[in-house]
This record gives sequence, structure tokens and C-alpha cells, in this order.
Amino acid sequence: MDLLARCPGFAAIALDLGGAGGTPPSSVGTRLQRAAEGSGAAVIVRTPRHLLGGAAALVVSVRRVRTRWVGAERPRRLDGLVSEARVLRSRADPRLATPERAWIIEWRA
Amino acid sequence: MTRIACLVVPGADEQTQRLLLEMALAQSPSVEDGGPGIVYLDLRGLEALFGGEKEIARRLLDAVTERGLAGRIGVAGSRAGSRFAAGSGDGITIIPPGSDARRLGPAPLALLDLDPRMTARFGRWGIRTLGELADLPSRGLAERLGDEGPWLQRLARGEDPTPLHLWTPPPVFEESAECSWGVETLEPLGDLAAGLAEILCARLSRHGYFADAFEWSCRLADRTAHEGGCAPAAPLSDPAAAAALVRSSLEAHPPRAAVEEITLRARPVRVATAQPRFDEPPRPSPRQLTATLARLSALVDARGIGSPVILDTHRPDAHQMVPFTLSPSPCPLPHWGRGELDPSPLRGEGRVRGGPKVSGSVLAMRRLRPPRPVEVAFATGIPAHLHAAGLTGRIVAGAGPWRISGDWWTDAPFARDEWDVELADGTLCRLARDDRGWHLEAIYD
Repeated sequence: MDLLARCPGFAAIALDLGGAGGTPPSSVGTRLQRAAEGSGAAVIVRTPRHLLGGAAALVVSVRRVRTRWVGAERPRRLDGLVSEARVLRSRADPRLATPERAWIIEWRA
Repeated sequence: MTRIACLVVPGADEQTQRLLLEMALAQSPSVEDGGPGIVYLDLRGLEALFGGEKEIARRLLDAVTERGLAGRIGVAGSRAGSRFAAGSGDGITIIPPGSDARRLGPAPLALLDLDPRMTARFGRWGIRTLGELADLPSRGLAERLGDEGPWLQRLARGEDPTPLHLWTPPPVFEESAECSWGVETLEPLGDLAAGLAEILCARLSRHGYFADAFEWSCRLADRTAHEGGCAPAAPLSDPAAAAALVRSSLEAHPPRAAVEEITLRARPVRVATAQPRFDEPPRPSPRQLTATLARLSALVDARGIGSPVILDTHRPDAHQMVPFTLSPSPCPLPHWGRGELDPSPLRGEGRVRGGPKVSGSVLAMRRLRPPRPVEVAFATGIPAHLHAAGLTGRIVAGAGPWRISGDWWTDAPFARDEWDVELADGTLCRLARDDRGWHLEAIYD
């Protein structure tokens, strides 16, 4: 999982664990953190829930608020989604991680 | 005195050209690649070793004819003269020494391969042939064209002071190791291949080459062959990276029997070194990237490693993985990649500062590869319930069917209905129905 993160020269590495079955070992966060520190890359991990513990510098939770359909009586087309993002943890600015702060993101199809 | 032979074989492709050059090299140590179907040979000083001009030309023409090629040979005191001689007759045409200027007189000016500007200039002067160019006053020509004028005039008279640009066959980078006792396990075989890779890389470095591909072939104990290959992300000559790459390739495609001999070949390429710009983002070194990709390919299916390329079709999810390569000049990071969250949200809503508008973000979906078979129950003509491995629920909203078809002119046409549905637990997904049944195609995050 951390092979690419250990290879210096990449500016950013995205890791999507959204559809992965099972639970990754608890040491994954620490391994990724050390690999990213060594290579200087920004590692972005997408998981169904917070798995990396204290290793993550920034943890953002995104949940869907509503789905937008086009069509009055019967939906005719998916128009987009509206998501709400909250910062659960921020090592650089802990003030961001407050429950009253949320960001609404509109995704258009 | 310069004596040049020109071999002309019309319609020669790259492979044939290489063959012609090798045949010419068997007759003379000084050979120049004159372009597709043209090879020049320097015949000076070869009489004592290989015979006279006519004998050498005859042997070369016989060798060409034996290969089933139709060629002509001309011999003269210059490249232009020998090419003119080759084009003016069948078989072998020799212009005797001292008569180049006279024989070249009626030859067209195009024989000198002038650039269009100079051709137009001579055209305005009414100069059409080499003889007309040779008869011009040298002093006046030098005053109007500079040094190029007298030089072109010498060429027109059949004098060619420029030596041939010698062609040498590219070196073959191949190493073999025999193991008569038979290597049955991967570890010693990998060590053997890694040793060969290190030897090859040392040879590549000595010649100033890099390798952009490695091919290996194993002679097995059951009298069959096992072959494979691997390509680094960028041309390399680093022994450790090459060894790791070859070792991983062997581990990904292990031989089915004991190996009695292994041969490793490297494809050599020249790589121009260039200093990266200051505004370029950092790039992984070829050695480290190759080693990383080699380790990845040993862990996962190598077909899934690379760069995705969208195919030229409307077929959903049509893509292809191509080998990941380091581009010579990577694009700088897009400005929206450096956005940051605005720490002062307004009435509970926020936006991304320095990036795209949040309201204009494009909806993305997570493709399931391969699509997951599902069972769909209908009520009043629309999907009402979904059942799949790990995903079951009542459908509360949906839109469709979107009917798409295409590629009907190929052997693999497609036609399907697509639905976007939302389950009671909030899962939003895309379903598709084709002649194989219903499938869960993607999930919207």
C-alpha cells in the first residue's frame, strides 16, 4: 500500500479504499505517514470511515445531504448531489475541526 | 582520389535498409546511410583487398539480387555523381575518374538536394542542370552566395570533399547463462537473470546506451521455450533497477519446468540528458520508479498498472491501460490543485478558495470492474427492489432507462439500458441491463 508513497518524486498520491473489503491493519496510517514524510508527497486516502488515526494531518468527513433529480412527478434524470464536508482533524489549524463548521458542496451531473 | 559507389534499391523499408547497409558493410568498411533505399560506399584503397570497383559493385549487386531485391549501382567521384550514375542505367554504371564533370553536365539540379530557397534562387537565374551551375563564374557565385556558392559548384563538377558519415551496426546487447543441472525454483533463477541484467547494464553504460525494454527467453528441460519481457517506466542503465525489473517479470511469469538456459536481451536507445526546469514539479527518478513498478507488478496484476487511456468509442467504461512512462516535460500542477479550505464559512456553508466553484463540481462515480450481477424487481414498470452481493434495498427513486448502443459496425456491438437509482439507505448507483442481464455498474459517492 505504501510502495508508491515511498518512491520520491511524486507530488501527490491518491489511495482509494472505498470499495475495499475488510479492515486494513492499524499500522497502515503510521506506514503511510512515514513514507509520505520520506518522499515529500501529499498522500490522500479515501476510506469509508476514519482508519488512519493520528497519522493523518487532515481528516475530512463528507456525507451526502441530498440527491437532486430532474422531473416533477417521476424523476427523469439525475441532476447531481449535495454533500456536506466537515473537518474532523487538522494538525495545521485545529480551529477548523469544530462541529459548527461545515462546507456544502454541490456536484453537478 | 575519392571513389564513391551508390547502391539504389527503390521502395526499401526500414528493415530492408538495414539489410542493405549490412550487405554494403561486407564490401567496404566505410558505408553511409543515404536515406531510404540509398547506400554509399567508399571504394578508396580497396583494390588490394577486395578487387577493383567493378568487382566490388558486381559482388554487392549479386548479394542484393540474391535477396530478391532489384538494385542499381553507380560508381563515381562523388555522392551526387554516383547517384546520378546509378539512376542513369540498369545494373552497374561506372563514371571513369576525371569525367565526372562532363557526365554530370545534363543532370538536374535536384540531384544536389538543395533547400527550396536555393532551388528557387537558381530557378530565377535560369539554372536547371549541374552543368549550367558548374559553368557559372566562381567569383560572381561567391559574391552572391558566399561560401555556399563555390561549394555547390564543386559538387556540380563531381567533386565531393565531405567524408562519408560512417554507419555502424547497432551493438547487440544479449547475454546468456547455461545451467545444465536445471534451475527449478524462482529464487536462483531470479539471481541468474539479475546477474545477466547487471552485465547488460554495464555494457550499455560503456556504449552510452540505455535500455527501454528487456526480453528474456528460457530453454526448459521439457524441450520447450518460455519467453517474456518487461519495459521500465523510463529508459535505464542502472544495474539494480534492471535486476529488480527482470526478477519481478520472471516472478510474474514463472516457467513451468526446470530452466536449462536463460537468455536476456536489452533493447538499446540513446537518451538525451536534459536539465529540468525550475518551475517543473518533481519527478521520480527512472531507477526508483522502475523498481517501484516492478515491485507493484509482482504484487498485483500487471495489467492494472499503467496510465488509463480512454478509447475512441461511446462504449461505457471503454479504456485501456498503457505502460506508465515519465513524460519528458510534465505539465505543471493545475492551479486548482492548490486550493485550500476557507476557514471562515458563511452561515454554515463554505467554499473552496483558489479553486473551482463548489457549486460547479462535476459528479463522479466509482466504476465497478467487472460489473457486479444484480437482481432487480420491477413495480409498475420501474425498478423497485435491488438485490446484489453486499447491497440490498428498496429503490426509492430512479431515472431511466437511458438507451445507448454503438459499435454495430464491429464484431462487438453493444446495446443497453441504464438506470440511476437511489436505495432507501441512501446508496446511489447506476444499473445497466443488456443481453447478459442486470449489472451494478457504478456507485456515486
